[in-house]
Amino acid sequence: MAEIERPRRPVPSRTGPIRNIRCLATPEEARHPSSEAEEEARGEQGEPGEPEAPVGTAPAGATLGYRVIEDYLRQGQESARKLAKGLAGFGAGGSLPELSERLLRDGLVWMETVAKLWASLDPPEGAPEATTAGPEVRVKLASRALAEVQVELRPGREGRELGVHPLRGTDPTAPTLGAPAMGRREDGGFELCLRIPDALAPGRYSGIIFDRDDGSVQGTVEVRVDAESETA
Amino acid sequence: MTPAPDPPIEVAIIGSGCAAVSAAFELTRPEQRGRYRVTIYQEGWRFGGKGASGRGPGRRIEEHGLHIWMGFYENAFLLLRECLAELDRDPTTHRFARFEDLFFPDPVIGVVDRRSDAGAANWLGYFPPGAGTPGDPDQPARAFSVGDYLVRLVQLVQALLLSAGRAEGASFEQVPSAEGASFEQAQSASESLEPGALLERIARLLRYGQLATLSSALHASQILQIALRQAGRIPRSPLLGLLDLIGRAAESQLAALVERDDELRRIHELVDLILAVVRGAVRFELVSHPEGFDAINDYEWREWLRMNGAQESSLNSSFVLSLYNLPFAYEGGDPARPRAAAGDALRCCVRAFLTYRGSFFWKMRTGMGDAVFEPFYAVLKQRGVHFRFFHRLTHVSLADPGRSPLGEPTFVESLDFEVQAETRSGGEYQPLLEVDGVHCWPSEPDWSQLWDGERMRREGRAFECFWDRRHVARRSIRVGEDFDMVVLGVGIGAIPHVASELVARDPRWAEMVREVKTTATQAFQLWLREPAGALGWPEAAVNVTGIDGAFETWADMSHLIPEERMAETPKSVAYFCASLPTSSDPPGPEETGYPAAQRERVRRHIVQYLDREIGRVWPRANPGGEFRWDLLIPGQGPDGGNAEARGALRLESQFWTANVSPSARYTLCLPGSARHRISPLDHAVDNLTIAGDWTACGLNVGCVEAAVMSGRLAAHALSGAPALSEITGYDHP
Amino acid sequence: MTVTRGGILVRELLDEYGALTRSALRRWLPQQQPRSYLYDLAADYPFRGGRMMRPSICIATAKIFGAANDDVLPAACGIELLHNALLIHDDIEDESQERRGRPTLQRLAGAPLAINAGDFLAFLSLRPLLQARERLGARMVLRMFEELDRMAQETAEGQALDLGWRRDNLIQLRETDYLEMVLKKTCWLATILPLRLGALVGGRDPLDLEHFVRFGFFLGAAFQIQDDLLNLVGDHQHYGKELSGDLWEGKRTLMLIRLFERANPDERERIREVLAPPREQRTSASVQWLRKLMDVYGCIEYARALAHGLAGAAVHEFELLFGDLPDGRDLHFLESLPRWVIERA
Repeated sequence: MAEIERPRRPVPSRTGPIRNIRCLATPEEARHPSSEAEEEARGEQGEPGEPEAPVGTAPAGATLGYRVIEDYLRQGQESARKLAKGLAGFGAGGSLPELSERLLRDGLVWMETVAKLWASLDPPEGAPEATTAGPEVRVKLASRALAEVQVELRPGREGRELGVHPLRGTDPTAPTLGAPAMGRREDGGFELCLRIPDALAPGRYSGIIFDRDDGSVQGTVEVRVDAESETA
Repeated sequence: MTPAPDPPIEVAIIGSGCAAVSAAFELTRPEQRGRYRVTIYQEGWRFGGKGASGRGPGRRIEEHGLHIWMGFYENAFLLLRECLAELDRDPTTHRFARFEDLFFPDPVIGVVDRRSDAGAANWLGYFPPGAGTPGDPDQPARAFSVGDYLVRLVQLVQALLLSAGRAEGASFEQVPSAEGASFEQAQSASESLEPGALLERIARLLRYGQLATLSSALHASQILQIALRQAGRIPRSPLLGLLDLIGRAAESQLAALVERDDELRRIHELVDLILAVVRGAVRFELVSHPEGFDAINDYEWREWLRMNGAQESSLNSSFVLSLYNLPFAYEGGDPARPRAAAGDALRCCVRAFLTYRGSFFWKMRTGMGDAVFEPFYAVLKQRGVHFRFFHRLTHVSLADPGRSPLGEPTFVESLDFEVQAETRSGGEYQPLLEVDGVHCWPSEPDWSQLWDGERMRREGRAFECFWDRRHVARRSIRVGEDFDMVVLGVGIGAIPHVASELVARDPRWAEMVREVKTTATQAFQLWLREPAGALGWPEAAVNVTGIDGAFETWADMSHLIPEERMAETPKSVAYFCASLPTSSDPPGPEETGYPAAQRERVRRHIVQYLDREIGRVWPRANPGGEFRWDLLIPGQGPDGGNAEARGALRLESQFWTANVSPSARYTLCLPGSARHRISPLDHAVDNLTIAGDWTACGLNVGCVEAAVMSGRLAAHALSGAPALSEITGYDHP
Repeated sequence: MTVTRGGILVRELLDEYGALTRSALRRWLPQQQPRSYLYDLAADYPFRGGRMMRPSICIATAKIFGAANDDVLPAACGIELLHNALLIHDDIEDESQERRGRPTLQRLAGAPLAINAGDFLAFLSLRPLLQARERLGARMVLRMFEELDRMAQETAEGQALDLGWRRDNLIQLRETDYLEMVLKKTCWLATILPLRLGALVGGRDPLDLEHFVRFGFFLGAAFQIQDDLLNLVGDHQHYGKELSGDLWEGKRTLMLIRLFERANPDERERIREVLAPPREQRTSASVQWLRKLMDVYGCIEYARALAHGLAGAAVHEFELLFGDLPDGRDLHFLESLPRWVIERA
């Protein structure tokens, strides 16, 4: 029987899908909450929360203006909060990779709690251990009440410009302790200057030490006021 | 472009559903330079297969069911957008010229919460918009990996836990600090971390025994993400330990809150399910498994979740049941037998939830036939494709094995058709009718074009019905004369009937038709005098599933009203659909009474549903156990209807369908069935390829996207194009 | 008006950054066909002159935070294009006669073509940002689009309030209503968005941005009130629009609201009557009467004092925002703006 002349199908290079790429892709969009905390740290230089409206003989225009703008900003926050609460399933608007970023941006107390957790873990094995101790931090404290200050600073930050965020207690609505000043010393160490207001409520206040250059988190400062009444 | 020098290769494509049309579109691309000359053979009068729609009385849109596209249908949207771009219609004269005229994002799905004692507490899931539009070109092409998905799932857990914590206004307790503390930075750790160091960290966490706070659970999930990225190098047991830790923390934190709040309960269920997925992925080593999600395809989806720690309450949640509703994943169509292969289901879920672009759902502004198949028909016609309507394939004949040289595969020698009707003119049948400047598929053929058409109409010829075998002629086409290659784009239900020779000669084909199953579906459409809100549905127009009753899914399709011209303009349009339980196989063609009996059966289902069960979503529609039939706009039935009809007779003026024809049944992915699928790339028969959502197309789930991928694979099989790497999602775990 | 060093600096920077922006704009507004139907019309307002305050704020803010000119020019162009788009539509909606000393675009080309040119400019405003993707990164461009999106919504809402009040002849409004409307309609595009986009380009995201809203609001509100004042008492040559045009349009300014507050019931009735009919039916006599009544009740002085207070608050917010940053020309420019907006002619 004569062979029919007919076009042939090309021979396929494969007949099935590749179900496993050999290496795992690390997508650039996935951001760690840690870097969000750094951004939070970087952004905290301006003081959020209620601004002090001009005191004393404030021009009527300013008072009026502040009333309008504070109302407006508060409404915006409320509707954002309602939105986050009212939407079931996958949380407030935003693409999924950014979701955890946005939600994690909220609340300095939360961020600091996380930072405290990280502080309890060891550094990676490969990290340079030049000296067993980090740079020396001297603390200058002015306080009426009994206070205990604990500073944790990552090694290797000699010569950098550091800053400290305002120290806050566990109650987000309570006033902060203020930001201690962190200055460099000639010998490469640091000096932390802190003043405790007299009327400050006892408790634990903590804040993040950050690198002024890149905003990365470098350590924590914790102050216990009226330390005797607290058990460690 | 100069045409290719050799004579063109004649391709016969059987069928005109998403798969067949995609194959045709690919083979006739300008880049192919006319190498392939395509003829499409289709039974009946219209394109679309299971996606077809028609226009009935009052130009109302009549569909086979609910056609909604999903935001991860990259291939489907790509082809459609390319098709529209090629047509380049003028938007000032053509109201569906552009993609955005045809599709709109639909980000909300409603799930009726069956468990709520206080009546229907409905869960509205809003899916935030995903970046881009599906079908956007990706430079470079996206790479999918299990590890990536797991990391994002863990991020999702974090987000859910946070939203739960904030919803409750929880304050975070301090965690006791470990001794010997010094500081580390998590971000750099992910790059520089040796598995040994990571294990050390995990071990330290595990030593705590429990995580006291939500915040520590979040931190642990951070470590988990880092570990998952390196899952190939981290032994399973510490990962599992970490998962348990997080799971228990989430449990203890949420369990107390869950009692009081429906929303928190849903978050709890979701967290539970996601952790089970992650746990299962780690246990079954899916990250490094060469088969990806296919590795777990022998398990049933919920069974697999259960064995990985998901709680019963989560497995029975409305959310999970909805996942079965949308692809009709019921064996035999029986709502008491939800069954889906775990691997296929998981693959589909991660694609649907984590990779959608634009919106989770996309809806069309007109029927799917007009939105999708009309543009494709127009573009194919422009490209010179021939169409043979009213041709029903009856048999695929293979050549004698001796005709092929040793070692070479066999080939298709001829194709036999029943010609259901012929045109008076002898020329090609013109299938479209014009409605206000756009072309549409009618719900009935244009009898006037058909020879003896009037008599056929009176006889009620049902060209799309498997049980109406009346025909006016037979026709055979032969290899070498009428075709060189074949794309078999019929539904799997038709394969045993049209490819009996293949099934007999190739045991793999026999297995496939035995194992890859389908379900019949039922659907109806109502045109109502009141909007959904007046009927008692409290939320905005959504797609709702999980309704406790014969028809679990309802979609408000009122946006179609402007396309229709009924004598009385409806205030709303509602589509309902569900699987239809049937005995496993449809009867043979001699059972001519079968379709009418099924149709009547569906009608009874509808009446019962509307009288007794519709109250779940429309509490005001059935007071006293009877549906307010006067809500339905009368007089639109096929014969003009009876405007005076009262009570359930009013239903006659609406539209319903029992999709029981073998080709019209919905493809299932039952546990253990995927391995029996055959790929379009399979080379067992040299000049034949297959196309359809029932083939081994990568996605292996019954949906538009799978069908389009399959059609593109079929084109690749015959021509080498498109490249497999261009078929988004084909190379995918 | 006393000439201050701050005032001179503001003038200088407005000129410099204005010229920079204008020459960058040429890239987006080519002279191509259809010219007399579209491109010439679209280019009319942008090159007709104008203070260029908005792009200047944007550029200055970005440079304060260390960005280069080329980094921020796309945003500045986008803002200026959008601003002009809205000017075209505003003129039509307000039925204005003059803009920057010449007839409004709809008087020159007819409303349909003017509307189309305005639409075109609005969509065009996205293009500089889109094309800056490579330079700035997709993520930042997306963030900027989010800002534009927010601004677009606020502006539309503010405009809706303004127009709605006029359509329904609402005059019994409070100052806080007016300020809220100005915040949305004017401040977002005039000051808040330029500040925020400048900050974004300069690398400040996201938390500081709320303080920009405050600073931008006070600055923009003072700016707007001064604008409204100039409309009544300004020097026509400098001002560029017909005097008392706002009264003709029935625009709800602070002065009008104050007038309604202070007037007696008879006068209120008359005010309502004057403002009820559409602009064409308003008489010169009735407009004059309104104007005189404003003098009687000291509405001009009142508004001026209020604007001063807002400018003062702007200075305060400036300190909070930029207090710890090193000195520089751009910083001084922003610092001098509150004073300049209320002292300019």
